[in-house]
Amino acid sequence: MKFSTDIIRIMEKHKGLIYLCRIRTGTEPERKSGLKTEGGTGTGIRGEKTEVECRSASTSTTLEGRVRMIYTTKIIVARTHVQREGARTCHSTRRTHWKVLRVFAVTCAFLLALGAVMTSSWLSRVPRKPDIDTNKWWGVGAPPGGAADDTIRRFKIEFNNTVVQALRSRIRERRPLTKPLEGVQSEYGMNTVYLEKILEHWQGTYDFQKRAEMLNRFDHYKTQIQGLDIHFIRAKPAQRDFQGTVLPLLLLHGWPSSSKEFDKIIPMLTTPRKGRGFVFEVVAADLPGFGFSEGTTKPGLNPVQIGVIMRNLMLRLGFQQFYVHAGDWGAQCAMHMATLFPEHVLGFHTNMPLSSMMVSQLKIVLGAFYPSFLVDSKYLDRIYPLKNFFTYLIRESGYFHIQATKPDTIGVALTDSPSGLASYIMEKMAICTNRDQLNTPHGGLEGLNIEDVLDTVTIAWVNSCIVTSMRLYAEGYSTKSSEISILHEIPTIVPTGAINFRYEVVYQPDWILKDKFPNLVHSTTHDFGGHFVALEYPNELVDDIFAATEEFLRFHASK
Amino acid sequence: MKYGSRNLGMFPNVLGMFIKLGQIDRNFLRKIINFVDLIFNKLSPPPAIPYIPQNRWWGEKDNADDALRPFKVRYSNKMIEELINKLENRKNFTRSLRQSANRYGLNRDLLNDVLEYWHRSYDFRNREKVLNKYPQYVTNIQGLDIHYVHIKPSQPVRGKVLPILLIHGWPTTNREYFGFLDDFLKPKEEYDFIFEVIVPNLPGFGYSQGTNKQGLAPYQIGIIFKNLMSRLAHQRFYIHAGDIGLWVGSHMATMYQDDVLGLHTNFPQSLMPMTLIKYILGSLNPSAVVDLKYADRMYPVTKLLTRFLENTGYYHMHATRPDTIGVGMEESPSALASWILPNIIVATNPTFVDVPDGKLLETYDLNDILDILTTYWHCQCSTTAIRVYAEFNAIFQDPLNFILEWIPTKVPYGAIKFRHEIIYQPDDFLRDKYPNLVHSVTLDYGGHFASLENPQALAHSIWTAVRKMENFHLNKFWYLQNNDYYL
Repeated sequence: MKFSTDIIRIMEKHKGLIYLCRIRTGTEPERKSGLKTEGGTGTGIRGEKTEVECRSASTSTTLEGRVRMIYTTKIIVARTHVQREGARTCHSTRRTHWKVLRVFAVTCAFLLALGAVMTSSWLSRVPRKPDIDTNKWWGVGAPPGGAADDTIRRFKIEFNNTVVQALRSRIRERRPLTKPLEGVQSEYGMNTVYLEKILEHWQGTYDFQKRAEMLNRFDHYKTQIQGLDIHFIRAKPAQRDFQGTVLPLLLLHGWPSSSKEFDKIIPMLTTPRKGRGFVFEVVAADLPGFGFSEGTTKPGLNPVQIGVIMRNLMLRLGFQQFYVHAGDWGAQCAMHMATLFPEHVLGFHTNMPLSSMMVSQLKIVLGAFYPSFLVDSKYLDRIYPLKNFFTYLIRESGYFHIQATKPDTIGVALTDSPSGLASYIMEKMAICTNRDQLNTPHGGLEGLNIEDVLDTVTIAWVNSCIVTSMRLYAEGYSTKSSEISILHEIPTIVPTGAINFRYEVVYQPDWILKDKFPNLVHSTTHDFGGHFVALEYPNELVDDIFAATEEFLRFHASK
Repeated sequence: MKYGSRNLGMFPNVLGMFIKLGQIDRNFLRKIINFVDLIFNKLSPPPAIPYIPQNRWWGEKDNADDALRPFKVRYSNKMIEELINKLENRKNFTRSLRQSANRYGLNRDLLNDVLEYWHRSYDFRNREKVLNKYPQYVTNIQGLDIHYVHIKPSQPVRGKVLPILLIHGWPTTNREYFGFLDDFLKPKEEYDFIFEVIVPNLPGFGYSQGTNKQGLAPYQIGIIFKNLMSRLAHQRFYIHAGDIGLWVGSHMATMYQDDVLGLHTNFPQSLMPMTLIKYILGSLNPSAVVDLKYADRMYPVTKLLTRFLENTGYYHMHATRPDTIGVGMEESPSALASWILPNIIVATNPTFVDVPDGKLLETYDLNDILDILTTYWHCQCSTTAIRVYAEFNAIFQDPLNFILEWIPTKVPYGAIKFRHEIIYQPDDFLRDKYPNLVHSVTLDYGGHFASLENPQALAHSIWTAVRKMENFHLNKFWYLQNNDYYL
């Protein structure tokens, strides 16, 4: 009975197999068994199936009858198999068999070799630089006929009273937040009990005016580039009688920050250091759509285009050649800028060094088979096992997914509700600062100064710029233009400095970074710090920028 | 090509088949697929269903109480005022990019139209009456107050009365079935039965209480609903489910194979591993797995995958960080609308995202949708509702979520496949999980929210399917005699 049960299962679900068997029987025994088939070759599985079923239905055979029929067929299958096995021992058939095997093996080997050669040449190809229009108009409508407005206007940050009062009342009149589940800290997202505390501080004790004053200790400007009002801080060296050289340095931030992210490091960069023959004149710009810079109304403003805008900004300020330090999305913009305009960029320093080249990705994946070959054992756990990395990535990249696909959808929540904005931004700043603290109410946020975090949230709120800033993800991953993917594959020859902090989102060892940055002249790896290091470890970051610049100078001198 | 008459061994034929038209031969691919089936069926029998406690406590307090309390929706003046206030004081939202329609998220003009309507023209008092149209109750099950609509046939009926449980999904509530019930409840001449309808809200959705404990996964909700049906004295019953309600419905059909008389859905899918393998293999030559008429609903894989990625950002957030996103949705009605409406548009028809108004108002009655949004607002249940995604995807903490997906069930299955449903699977795929597929209809119109968009087609399909399922149960003795597989 067990046997027939199995047959029924096969018959009901895998008719094709029965068919396959029956074909092998040849036609003769089947006629004997009373099963009519189309000469043994069959025209299709479906035809066979219908026939069997019709037969049992029309002759009203019971189920046992059906089973017996199939059973008979099965026996025949077995017998014919034996017959065929016998046939195979025939001498000539066996020889053909081996010949065929040999031909097949040689073909496979050839195809494999060809594949390997093609893959390696495909991976090492360098595409041509795409043509980028350096004057593309991003402002509303068409570019004006006459000369564009190129004035540089002074600007002062103001959190005016109406806005602040409105914000405060919105926070005060918020609905009670849904409590986290029992025993949950930050695993399901922002801990709302902790959030309540922050919101209380934001609307009660956070001093908007004092924070604005603090930001206003730098000189702020706005100027129109390619139709967009770009806001930037320009800080000259404090010491007038400094004997060494003054090097221009452009600072670019990422999401969800603004130039405010650099307020701690700007004074340090403009202060001369013992033993260094140079100091920086700093330009810290807000990316278009971020902070106090205007966002565009047109699709297509991706990191490459932002790189062009930032290069135009530096040219307008009179810097033909300059250095760049950047993190997060700013690093992407700066990297593309350095690739496109090596004549303008003298050195590129970043705290999120990343090679997105195909060959680098491949190395990392292949490295999973023998990790210690790829990366120093000290830093092994920053990449491998890849399972941990991907778990982390899937767990934390929901924000990325929604911003890269439907930024406006999430944007409304963050534009209309200060609690929503704070919850969203703070959760991300927390996780990027320390990913191992999900089991705490703050989720890692306390690695940062809470005032700095609230500055970031406040700037996003008063400018209502969260949507325009999030659209950068959508543009950065748009399939509409190929310039980004092309530029990713072109090595950046500008001398590069990298600093790797412990909790940076991605870590790549130097030899992989060198795929993209052949002139990686400086690299430091720390076992502390997160993604927002300019806020978290300003001293270490500035030290590294100075050290890297020393290397950049040496690089250019040796050339 | 005759495989029966070859005399060259296996290999040249395989190569030849690959080369032929650059595609794998259809029949050969079918054989491979049948082999996959065989391997999964013979070599890896489905895991057994472990013992699952049926009385886990989800409440905050120890307030066991099995009374059925009548319930009415009441909007307080204060709540309406607050909502209107928030809508009136909404910020000036960022303008949509030029000619981007709904591709970057909900178009601002459409959003403003909807919010304007909600603010000025939506009649809260009248709509309250609509929500109270059917008798509804609240009862405490395993510590949670579950809200449900319960309609018994009023006049004496000719034939049998069959209980049916209707399960909704996200972003709806049991309100999604109200428009559909009118038609569904009418006795029909050609059928010898009539339905007794129970439409609960999932815990955490609408007026059903959300839990404060981790782990309320869909199968646990299934247990709650089973207990609800038991309390209403229905040991055996039918289920219709759509959207994520199907998680609940299919897990119920897996756990209670003797008690669930039939499962009907407009979101038919099998998540069995072999189905996925077959789907991928099928991409080599779609005609081997699916009628070519419907091949464009499944293939090419890359196109569907891209569309899938483009539209599942919300799912990703729900599954990983529900609490973060919930804050904004509970605080701002505009956020709620803007989070939910794009999903409705894209699930109705993916090409509607390229239309500035998303054809939202053409397809749906805005009042229906705003009823649901107002319920979400009133109950402040956005966070508790979307947490179910996180629980379903917590596969490391609770592997049962996927184990149950991987166990076939003998419960008879009925499927209605609308044109723009998110997932399309041919009947052969569905049989992996539901060998007793008794009813399957494929339509060339309609989208994901069938009960709101095509209530009549859905109702008709349920009636037909249930009749077939009844017949299935009548004829079951045929199988009982000879075969234990169907038991």
